[in-house]
Amino acid sequence: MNLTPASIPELQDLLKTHMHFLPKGGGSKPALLSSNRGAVLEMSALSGIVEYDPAEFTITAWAGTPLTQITDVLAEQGQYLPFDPPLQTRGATLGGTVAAGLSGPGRYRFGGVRDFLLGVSFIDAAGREVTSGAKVVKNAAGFGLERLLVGSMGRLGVITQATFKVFPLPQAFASWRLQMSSLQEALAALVRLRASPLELWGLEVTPDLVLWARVAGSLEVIMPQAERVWKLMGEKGEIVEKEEAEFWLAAREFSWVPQGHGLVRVPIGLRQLPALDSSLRAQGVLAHYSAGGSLAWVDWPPSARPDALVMLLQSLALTGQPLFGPFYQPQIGNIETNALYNRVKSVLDPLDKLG
Amino acid sequence: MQVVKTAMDPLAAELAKSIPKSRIFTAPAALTSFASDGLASLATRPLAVVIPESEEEVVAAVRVCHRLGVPFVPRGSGTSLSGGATPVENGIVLALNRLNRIIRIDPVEQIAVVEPGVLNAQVSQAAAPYGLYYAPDPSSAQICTIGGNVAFNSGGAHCLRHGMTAGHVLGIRAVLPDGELVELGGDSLEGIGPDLAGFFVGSEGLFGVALQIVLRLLPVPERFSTFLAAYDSLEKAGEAVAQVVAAGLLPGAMEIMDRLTLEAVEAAVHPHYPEADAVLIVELEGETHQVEADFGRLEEILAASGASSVMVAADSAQRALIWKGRKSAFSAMGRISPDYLVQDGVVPRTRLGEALAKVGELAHQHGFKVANVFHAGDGNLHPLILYDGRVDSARERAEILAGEILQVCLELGGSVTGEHGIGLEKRDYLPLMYGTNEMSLMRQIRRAIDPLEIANRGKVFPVLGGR
Repeated sequence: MNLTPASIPELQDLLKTHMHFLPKGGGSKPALLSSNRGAVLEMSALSGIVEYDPAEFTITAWAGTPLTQITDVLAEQGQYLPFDPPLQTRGATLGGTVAAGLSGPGRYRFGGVRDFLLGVSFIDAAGREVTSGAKVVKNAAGFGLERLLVGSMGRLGVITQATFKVFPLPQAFASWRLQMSSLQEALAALVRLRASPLELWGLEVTPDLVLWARVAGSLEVIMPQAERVWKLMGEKGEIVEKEEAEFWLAAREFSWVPQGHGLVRVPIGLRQLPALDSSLRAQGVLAHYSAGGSLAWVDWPPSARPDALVMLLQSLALTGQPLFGPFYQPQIGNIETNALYNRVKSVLDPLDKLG
Repeated sequence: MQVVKTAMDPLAAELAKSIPKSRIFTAPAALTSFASDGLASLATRPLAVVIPESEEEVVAAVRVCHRLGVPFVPRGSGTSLSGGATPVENGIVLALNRLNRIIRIDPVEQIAVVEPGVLNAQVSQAAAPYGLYYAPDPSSAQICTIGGNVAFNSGGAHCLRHGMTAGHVLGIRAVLPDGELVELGGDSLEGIGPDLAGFFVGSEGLFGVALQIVLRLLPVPERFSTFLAAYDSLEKAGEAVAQVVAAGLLPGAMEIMDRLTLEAVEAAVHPHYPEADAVLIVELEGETHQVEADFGRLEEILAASGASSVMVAADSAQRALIWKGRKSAFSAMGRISPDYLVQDGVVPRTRLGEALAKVGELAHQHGFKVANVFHAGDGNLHPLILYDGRVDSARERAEILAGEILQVCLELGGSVTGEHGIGLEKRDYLPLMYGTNEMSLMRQIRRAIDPLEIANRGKVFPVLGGR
């Protein structure tokens, strides 16, 4: 059953019934909805920008607002969401991005969705409307409920509005890329680039081991910056100017993932990366490494059994969040119960109606 | 005394099972030095002060407190300006300063794993050999602890660009108030599931004690350019900030000090600021080419902003001197006033001028001098209300003025605290910022985590029925 509340009171009334619910934004991350036990709460009617003052660096919008709309409005004023929220062209919404806790390749520069979220409004399972945080760029009053909602996957409340900090959009971007011969070589390059003070806007390794590093800034400095990357890396590889945007768009939108394949997000560190990569390759599976190697995006082919990935992640004590594919769980792999989460859940959703 | 003695005996005996008696203090003289924190006007003598030296001892102490229903107050260096570490009567203080190990600096993952008693500045010092640093820099960085920074989501001068403590904490191992251990977040920049580590940050000790903290480290910026512009009015300095923002620049820091602050700072640490009604510090940081490009643009903006003088730090020594003046602003108040009260309300940046004008009016009405020093880029005010505690009711009247200033911040759409936290001092103002739903939800969460309400009891929430 799909329900589409058109107002906060309608949403509150729905939540007061004894049903199971899972909120849905644009449906751009279908695997996150596949574990749903009950009704789908379509958030599409709660859409639109509530408040945007470019001079304040803050924007507030309804949860169902498509990110493309927000990106466009910000771009008109020369601003952007620096965490580069993904799946925009597939209809991702602001609320869905917060609930899924997703950031794109740009998160490498200034931080992820957790770092730019200033406040949220949400309805808890009992129908109570709560507003947390503030519409100013700095606030330390009360518990950080807005951070609790990041990655909550609809299980702690239905997000209705979110306020973000925004930044000025750089005038220009350029990238440097180099085909690596092995993962080991790619990792050594990542370590070197991460340690440099060059301020990279993105740092990714593709499944076929091409390393991409992105710089950004004013028009007059963009090429000198790109050349510094090239020099740092032993004058190997090439600087890409015009067509570089295509690559970063594809990385953000996952258009490199073949139709019908699963996609699983796995937080990781550089030290653990070789073990994951070799385990995946042993099964003929590839991954794209994002945010300087802090995240693996596993491209899971339909020919491979989903439970093989579950076991693989368990064996490496890693956790995955499936966005596409038949995994039927919001998290897979190493899942531990957490006392703090359970206690918070007992307050926000004591009857376990959400999820 | 009889009551205290009977309450103390089983507690001390229980604590002594896990913690050497030499580190359990109950003598009044020893307790007095822990009776207050940076908000010295609020003082309470605790039942005991316990100085654990290991994670196990902290956990054991928390479990004893839970079993006996004794409140505990976790404490770092006691630099809280909101009374966050003020002891509770009939409770103990857990002084965490000896949990001061930097467990590891991992230059590959760019993280530091530290115990709560490690000082903020020590993290950057330990990371420096790898070209890394820890970004949040409260003015008290030389003495405040990471555990305290975590509890209060501390800020500093570089929040506009780098955010607050919550953005730099990746993982936390904590003991909840009933003694249960939890692992929140992890070592990676990214996580799955609710951001529990982020949620723990800013909980002001009410969720228990952080035992081990994973901090994100950043490469040290290659270049800094620190500008100092002098103005004949606060408004002009404020307008210059708006112009910097409108130009699309993203400085690392933008700070303003008014004349009163400048006088105090000059007397205290001699930073040689120019004679002015307001001084604006703007610091660019980052990759050399970009900083050089922004340098020219910033120079133009400041030159056109009506500044009576603009200087740029020529070297790191001059930069350090500029910052020394700014970071000494609170302690320098002693040069011009016997006592002061500091607030840290936030207003939308574009309403800074309005907020300052109202602060000035209110100060005049109440007959107090107020010095202003603030994080202009964040809209984070720090009005310092100067008073003489020896004068009858001066403190109380200063508090009334402080409350009215916080009201102004809320009316302008801001927050009652940008970085100092609610603590004991602002607990009556929290319900003015949040509604009844938010307040009751926060209380419920508190009780779900701490049914006995023993962790930092009395902080954050107003006492029902008034003070």
